[in-house]
Amino acid sequence: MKKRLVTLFLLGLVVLTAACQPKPKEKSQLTIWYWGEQEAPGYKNYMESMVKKYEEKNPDVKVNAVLQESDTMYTAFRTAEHAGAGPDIQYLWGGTQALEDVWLGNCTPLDDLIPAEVFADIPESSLKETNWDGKQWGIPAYQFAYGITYNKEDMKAIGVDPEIPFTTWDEFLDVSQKLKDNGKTPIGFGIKDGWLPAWIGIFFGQQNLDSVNDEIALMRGDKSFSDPKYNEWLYKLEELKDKGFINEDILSLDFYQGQQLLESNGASMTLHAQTYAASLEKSLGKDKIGFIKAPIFGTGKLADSIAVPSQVYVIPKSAKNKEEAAKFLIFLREKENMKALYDMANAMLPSKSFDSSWLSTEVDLTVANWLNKYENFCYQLYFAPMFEAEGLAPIIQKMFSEDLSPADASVELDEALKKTIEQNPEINEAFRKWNN
Amino acid sequence: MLALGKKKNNLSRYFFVLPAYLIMAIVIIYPIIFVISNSFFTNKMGESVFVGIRNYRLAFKDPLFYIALKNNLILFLCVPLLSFLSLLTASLLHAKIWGWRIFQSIIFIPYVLATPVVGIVFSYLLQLNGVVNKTLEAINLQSLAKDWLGNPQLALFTIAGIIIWKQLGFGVVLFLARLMSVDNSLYEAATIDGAGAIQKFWFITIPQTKKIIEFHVIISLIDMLSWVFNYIFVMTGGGPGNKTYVLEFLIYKKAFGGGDMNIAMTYCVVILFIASFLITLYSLLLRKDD
Repeated sequence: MKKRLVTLFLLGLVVLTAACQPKPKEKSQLTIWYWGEQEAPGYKNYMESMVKKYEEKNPDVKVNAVLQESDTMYTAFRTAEHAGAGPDIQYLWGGTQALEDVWLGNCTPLDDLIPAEVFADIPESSLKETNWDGKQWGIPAYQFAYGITYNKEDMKAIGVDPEIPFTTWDEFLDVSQKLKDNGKTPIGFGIKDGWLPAWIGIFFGQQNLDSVNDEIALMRGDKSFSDPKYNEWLYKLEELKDKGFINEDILSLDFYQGQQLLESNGASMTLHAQTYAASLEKSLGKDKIGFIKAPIFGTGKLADSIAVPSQVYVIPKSAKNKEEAAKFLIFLREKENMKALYDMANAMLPSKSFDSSWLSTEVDLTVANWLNKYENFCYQLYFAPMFEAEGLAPIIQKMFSEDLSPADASVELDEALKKTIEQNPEINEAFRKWNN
Repeated sequence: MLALGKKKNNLSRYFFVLPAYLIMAIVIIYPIIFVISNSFFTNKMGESVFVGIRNYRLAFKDPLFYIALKNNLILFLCVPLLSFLSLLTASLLHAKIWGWRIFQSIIFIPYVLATPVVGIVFSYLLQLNGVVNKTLEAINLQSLAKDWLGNPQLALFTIAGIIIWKQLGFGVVLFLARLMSVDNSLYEAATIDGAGAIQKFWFITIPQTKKIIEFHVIISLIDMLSWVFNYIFVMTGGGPGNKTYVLEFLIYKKAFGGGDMNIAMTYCVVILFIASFLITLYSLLLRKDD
């Protein structure tokens, strides 16, 4: 009996001691859904190193960063937001592609979470992409220029200057013809997944515009794609197709598969983000990889413009840890982290304190030179909501799969635009407000 | 007293089935009511705004809806072929042709493979410069080499072929199970009477498996209406030029591609009505048989 009593007493003592001990402090959780590895190889490593560094700096925070796929990034986010279970930080593509989620009510304005001095360090053109209704909704993750990546060796083989193989449209056609005559496929494209048409639009569609207002008038339905100012690029695309300058299996390949034709020597040129082109230069050598602006045919003031948009991070409406999310985003903008982003993923953070002496590839130096010389404008940033998915992508696909003529494509683009405006009146109202 | 006892008994019956009804209400009735009611609203900066039948008006006005519906109907046309091939294969296996055990396993393998895996593999095999076309070229059949998924006239039929290939195993197992329970004396008597294989198939196998055929047809129709999303998503993404859109894919694109959840729910209601019609048809057929 005595033994039992002592055992019970000791047991009670153990339970009491355990109960009185201070509970280990629960770590605050921060969830990030990001993208970027696809266009900026190394971004995943960069993000993982940032997470590690942030956790070391803030031992009471556990960061869970999840890399998303291109096809499911938006769908996963929208599904989660609809269920009120989104991440604390979400990566989105810039312009309307980010603002659509603002207009769907999926995002929180950042003005009260991030101090004004942080925004003051960001170039205004980058901030403008996600500034709506007087509020800032997104903060740049990185910026990149769109360009044509080409194989310098193929250019040398046809007797063309490998550093500047073309500047005008005619020169571009001439180079393409020579490449074709030399047994090469001049341009590698993949259109199956529908990402390519907007890219082509960026290279060719903005060349006849004088300012952003020209595109806005079009996207509001005030102007028509049947106007040569807005559809000349469709004729140029048809010209490339008809002359056999584009790979014949374009409809079989996804966008990235089309780009990979350059690396596998299946094509001599393709469209790339600067970040990816820089990584190719690092892996294949600067003697092999070149990066050049779109060939000029347009007559608008933006004919020689370059597109250097920013991808952005937003804080979702359902985020449970908004303050910590804002802290993490500010942390990413610290100078040494900015350098880590460039070193690891070839991506530049839009920042007034970005040091141009860090630039280490020919591709990046070329782009830095463009930024000083040409106006920055990106056609895709001002697409009307849903226009790309429901209009541009399938209609450009039809130009290849059904030989749809540019004139008919223009009519269909007008109809698609009208439909998207009609089907999404609330979103389009917000779009018009943005562009006012 | 007796009446009270009976009443108690009646109530207890309901009490026992209550959990099943509750679960059904939570997982079936509530979502249906939620979807139907939301089809009358729209989203304005995260707020739900009542818009009456506007979503239905817009949904029925959208050409994509008719493309998707037409494609679903084309896929419906595969169902008789699928049922016939399943029954024929099951009959051959039931007749214990040479190697029937191996064939039985081989035919069932595609059914257990995950649809996205099948989709990805076929989208590589069927590329213009893919293995299928390269093989055709190698054996001097280049005229048969096509852009199977990139040609708007072929893409949907290519997908239909892959669906039939994958779903065949299910039908075969279903019919084989029924055939194994058919009285063998029927076949023996027919053989004595001098009936050939085709006559036996026509006059014994088909009538004996009639109920299973009906079941298989209805299930396959519902599959073609609401289980083909994965194939489309992985293999064509609805393209080229929207030519392979089906209703499920349209719902997905509206809800998560365009973020218009309410229009998507409107299409869900339309699919619900079509599926309900098919189920009612099946119930009527069953009742008629009884």
